[in-house]
Amino acid sequence: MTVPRVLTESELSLALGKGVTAPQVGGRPTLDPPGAAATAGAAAGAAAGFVSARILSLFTTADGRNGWINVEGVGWRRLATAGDSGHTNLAQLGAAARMQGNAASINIGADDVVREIYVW
Amino acid sequence: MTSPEESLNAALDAAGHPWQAAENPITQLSEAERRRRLGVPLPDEAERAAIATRHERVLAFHARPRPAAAVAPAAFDARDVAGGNYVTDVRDQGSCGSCVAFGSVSVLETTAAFTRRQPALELNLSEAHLFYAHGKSVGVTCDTGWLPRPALRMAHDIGITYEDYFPYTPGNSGGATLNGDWPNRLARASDVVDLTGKPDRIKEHISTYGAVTACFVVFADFFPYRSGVYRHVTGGEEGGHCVSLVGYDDAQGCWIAKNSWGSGWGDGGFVRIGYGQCEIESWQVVGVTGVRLRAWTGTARVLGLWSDGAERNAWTYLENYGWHRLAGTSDQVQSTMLTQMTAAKVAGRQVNAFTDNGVVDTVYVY
Repeated sequence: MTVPRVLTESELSLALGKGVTAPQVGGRPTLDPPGAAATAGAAAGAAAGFVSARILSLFTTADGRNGWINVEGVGWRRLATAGDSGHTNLAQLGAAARMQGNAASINIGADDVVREIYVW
Repeated sequence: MTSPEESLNAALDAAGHPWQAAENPITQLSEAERRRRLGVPLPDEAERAAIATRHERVLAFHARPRPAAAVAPAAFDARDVAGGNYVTDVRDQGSCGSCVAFGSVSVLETTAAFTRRQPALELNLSEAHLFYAHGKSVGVTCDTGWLPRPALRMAHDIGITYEDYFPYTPGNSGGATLNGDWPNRLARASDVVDLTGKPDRIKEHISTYGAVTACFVVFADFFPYRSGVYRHVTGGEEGGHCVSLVGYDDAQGCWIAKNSWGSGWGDGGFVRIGYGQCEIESWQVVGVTGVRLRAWTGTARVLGLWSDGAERNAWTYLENYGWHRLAGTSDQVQSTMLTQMTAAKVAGRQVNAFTDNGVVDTVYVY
């Protein structure tokens, strides 16, 4: 006799009426790399609302969407938590900036959450 | 008896020398060969009347002072925008009435580079594909010539491949054939905009998107143009021609045009044509608002990475190509793409990416 199997996480979400989260339509970058020929965007590091600083250290726990970056001159800031993919992307960019060791352009919201990261 | 050269010199004397004339590779051709390069069929009487009506309005526009609320700047030159040159090399159509293909492709190349703010994009599209494939499908030949409106419409509907996939020779005398992979190496125009008879909108379009294509009547004195602002002073009507307009200058009262008669003609292949001259604003002026590219980039450096925390919204900046979104067909796809781009960025390695309309679809990291 076939018995129902245990539902997967995504099936449970559907069963609970949460549905499948559609990919969020995000914005597009507005800054250009330092020294790039392009002139469409603002110069990196000079844009309003952005901190141009090195990322000194990284932090995470086994909790969901809980990646943090330690921004030089600013301190620990949590990465935006709107979704798994977006959070993972920011964590990866934070890690890339940490590995490179040069200044990234970072947008930190009024709620102290990291909204955007440019790695140069 | 007065020679043509003497007549031209006398006419330029009388006009106060608005421009300079000189012998060039085109003046050395036979009269028939010169006319063969004029690939825009002259309009019939009804169309001439419509052009004349538009031309009167254009002249009235130019006679008025520059409006204080003009949207476009007083001067623009896509060859020098903050030091960046967005105009591709001058080419030579040779012995074929294919100027419309050259004028249209020039607009696509400049618009693609300028709207991306990438002067080193170095896009080189195939005039042969436009003329010998798309044009041929509607009966166009070297002898019939064409018009830019249908040509750019085909660039919108079908697209144009790159030069290396269908190299141009006059009359396709080189016997080139279209590479079968052309749908994967393709430029397609975004919206096609008809600006005929509207000088203010032509300027606005050029300064926003980089270039437009324009048809005008060629008189005999146009062939020996060397420099200065061309205004018709003598000689009869020779035919219709198409160029791309890549700039303008209100102080000089002229358009800056890129011709397709080689760099040995005119001012390095370019010509300044006076506002209102030869019906250049009144016959057919067409632009595009963008160019979608579908092709491999070839090796390129990753200069930047970006995300705003939105779902599947990671971007990479490829040198000379600008910002591209990474494919986000699933979380895993996006994560893998970003991982590989990050590896290239951190290690300073080059990538080769297949991009489709600004989205990276496939990537190699070396």
